[in-house]
Amino acid sequence: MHGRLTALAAAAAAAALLLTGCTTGSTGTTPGGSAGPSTDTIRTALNSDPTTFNAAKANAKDDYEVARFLFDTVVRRDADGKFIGGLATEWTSTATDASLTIRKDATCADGTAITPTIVAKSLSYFADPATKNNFGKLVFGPGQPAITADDAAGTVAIKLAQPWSELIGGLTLAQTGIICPAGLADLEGLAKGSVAGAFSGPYTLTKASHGVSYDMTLREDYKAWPKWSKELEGTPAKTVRFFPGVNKTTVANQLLTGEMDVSDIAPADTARFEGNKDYTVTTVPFAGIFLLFNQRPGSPFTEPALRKAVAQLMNQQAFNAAAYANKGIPYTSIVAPTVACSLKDNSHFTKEDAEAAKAVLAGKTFKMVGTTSIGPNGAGSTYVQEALRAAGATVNLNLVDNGTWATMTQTKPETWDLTIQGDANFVGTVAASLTRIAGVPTEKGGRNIGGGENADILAEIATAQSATDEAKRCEAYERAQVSILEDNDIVPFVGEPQIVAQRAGFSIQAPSGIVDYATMRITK
Amino acid sequence: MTEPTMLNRESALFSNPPGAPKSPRGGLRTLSPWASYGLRRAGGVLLSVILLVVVTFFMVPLIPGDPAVAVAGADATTEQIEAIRESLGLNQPLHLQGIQYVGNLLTGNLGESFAYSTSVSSIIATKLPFTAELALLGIIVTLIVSIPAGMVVGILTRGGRRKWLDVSFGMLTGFFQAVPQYVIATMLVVIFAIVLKVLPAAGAATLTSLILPVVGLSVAPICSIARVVRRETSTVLEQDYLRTARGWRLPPLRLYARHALPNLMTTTLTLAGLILAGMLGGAIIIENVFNWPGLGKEIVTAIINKDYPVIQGIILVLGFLAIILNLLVDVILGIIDPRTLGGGKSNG
Repeated sequence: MHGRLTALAAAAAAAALLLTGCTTGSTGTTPGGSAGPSTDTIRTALNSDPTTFNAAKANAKDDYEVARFLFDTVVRRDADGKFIGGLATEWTSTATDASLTIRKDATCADGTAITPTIVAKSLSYFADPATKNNFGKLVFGPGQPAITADDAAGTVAIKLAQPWSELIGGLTLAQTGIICPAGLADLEGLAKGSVAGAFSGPYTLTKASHGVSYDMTLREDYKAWPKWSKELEGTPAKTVRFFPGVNKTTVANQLLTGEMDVSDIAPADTARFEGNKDYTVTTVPFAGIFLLFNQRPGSPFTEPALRKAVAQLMNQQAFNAAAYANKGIPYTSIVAPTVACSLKDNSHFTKEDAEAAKAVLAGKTFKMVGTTSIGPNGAGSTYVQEALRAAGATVNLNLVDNGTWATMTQTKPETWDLTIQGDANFVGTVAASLTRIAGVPTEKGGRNIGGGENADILAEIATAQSATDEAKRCEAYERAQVSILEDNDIVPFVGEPQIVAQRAGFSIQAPSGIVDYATMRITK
Repeated sequence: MTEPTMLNRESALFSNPPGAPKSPRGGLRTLSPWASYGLRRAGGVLLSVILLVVVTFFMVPLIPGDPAVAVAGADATTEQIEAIRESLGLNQPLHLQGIQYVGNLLTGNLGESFAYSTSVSSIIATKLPFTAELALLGIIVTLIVSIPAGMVVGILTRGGRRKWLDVSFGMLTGFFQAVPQYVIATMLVVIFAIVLKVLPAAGAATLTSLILPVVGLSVAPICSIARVVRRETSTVLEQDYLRTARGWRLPPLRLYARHALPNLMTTTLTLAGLILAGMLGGAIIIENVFNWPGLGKEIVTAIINKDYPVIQGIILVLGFLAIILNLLVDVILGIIDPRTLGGGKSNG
């Protein structure tokens, strides 16, 4: 009996010890994280596992993040809204055409020289409707572009189907990263990240363990670094290790104990790093957060007076406190203040007037759907519900996860009257947000979940896109922004903050207010 | 081990419950106890697995939200969402999906993840060792701490002695049993990682990363089992055969380890089996707080992503493990006390 019990206990202990060999490693920081900065590795966190390593099909933040390391784009975004060369050394563009001169020293990870033909094929694959990515229209505008290469001249020519003056900005997106021929020849392997020759960027994926970690290794033959207007301090890491699915508060703990080097943190954890000389915190707007009304027939908010009354109740600061611990970035328009042609002050916002709002809203009942990701446990939506309740209205709030929210807002418009939307404007243009607010409704194949298609706004976008100079483009965009704010199609709150904490010895840049993950460096 | 262990010369004095297993009923009457036991349990396992497969298949699609919308991401057009739905096979009638699902299971294929370009089997194969490691170490620590602690307190407080110890033990274990796991986990991180900086806050980078998650996972089960062991010890110590053994002035170690401990094991192991099954499937909070890359974290992500095949695969594997664990515990109990083979109850 004793022998049997002892044997059982020994077997269980042996199994557990064997498993430790399969799971925990022997490297990393010393217990308690007392190690100083690593000399060649940067450790960072991802919200979740990348859904794909095919840059052209990337549709989540983590996908873009890893794509930035693995694939080079033809153009990169520099400080102050300027562009610098990536794989292209020079470029010219009009509203309908662009020409890119491709650098001669760039190679794929398998040594293949990156020629204009390779660039053109990759961009054509990205633009192909069959690829089914969500960003083609934001980069090339409506219609199908014609992309051709001239290897002798070293150039790629892009001819757009319709005027779209945001092309160069669009080509900075990580999703447009150039996929080398080996990747296009094996799309399944490309998605899994198993085709080493597919990569055109500075890193290759050398280890992928789903839900555990991903290692990217610096290519020794890589030379195509962008020439930033202000040279980046430090050296690129030999290895970048990504830990997926880490809770943001846990990330903050790991940064403080030295187990993580650079990572996004939650607004509520910012106070743990402020005033600490061992950490640098960079904050940029990630997504515009606004209250959006369902304006389809049958919804109460087809009535402008009701939209105005709700707008009169909303307070940006109170929302910021509830959702983002006051770390949200104040907005003066429908886009971030850093976006070209955005309105420079909030004079077009509907002024607060609680009494006037009460007179209109008292006794009314609304259906609201909100996602739990806007503020802790959906605190942003709860703020709106409470503000309306104080005015005598009843709001039946349905707080759900992101996937359910997307299902309800995109495919079940009868289930909601108002919602809070996060507008991640990766291309950094006014047009990208305008099409989301007043463009083609989702049921007709567009991006507008509110359903309030506005022909005047679409006409202003067309005017802006075909404008030959910046001033005229901005005039059209400003008219569109004013129209949306005066009609209360949305009520802007704040910019959702993306807060990146960096341990001493590590850095990352956010040129023009957009975090560029491939700028991570070891600075000592 | 068919009865409370005893010395030969003492055997006549001890209260000795019937040692032979009860005869199985019906057509199994002619088989040996182990053979009939094996047949009955095999039937039970088969029925449980069938129920698990059926319930999992029909339950998972009830999760609110459209997997195609979740996979398509923001800004996808209706056309793209529809194409994804078609490619995922979600447009097929449910009964056809069910037939395909069961067919795949029979060939050992758990399907492909909706969200990631990988198979469910490979996701589970990557994550299961982490969860199993945590759970096994958790149950070992639980048993190593709780059985001696419960026995010591039971011995010291037998027959109403040291009332203060009994009350203190009850209060302390009751308190830690009641504290939510996330509170204990957070406190462990604050004390040992943030303040003292002696252990990692999270992750699975080093062996020391295991310490805090295992402690966080074990605290409540230690308290539960220690309380049961204390109560069982008090009961066993009042048995006639142990009184007699004490009367013979057997050495304490022999008395308690040889004669009392085996009679505590039935209840303790049954409880430990249930706790281990719970640890395998329910370490979600611990895995999240400590960023431990196990199945608990994976299933939460899969639910958010509406990734049906991953959810179904994890539930199936964890459910199957729970069934096997229960079977294993029953077999061990059968070895310890063959009377349980007939479905009877031991005196443990």
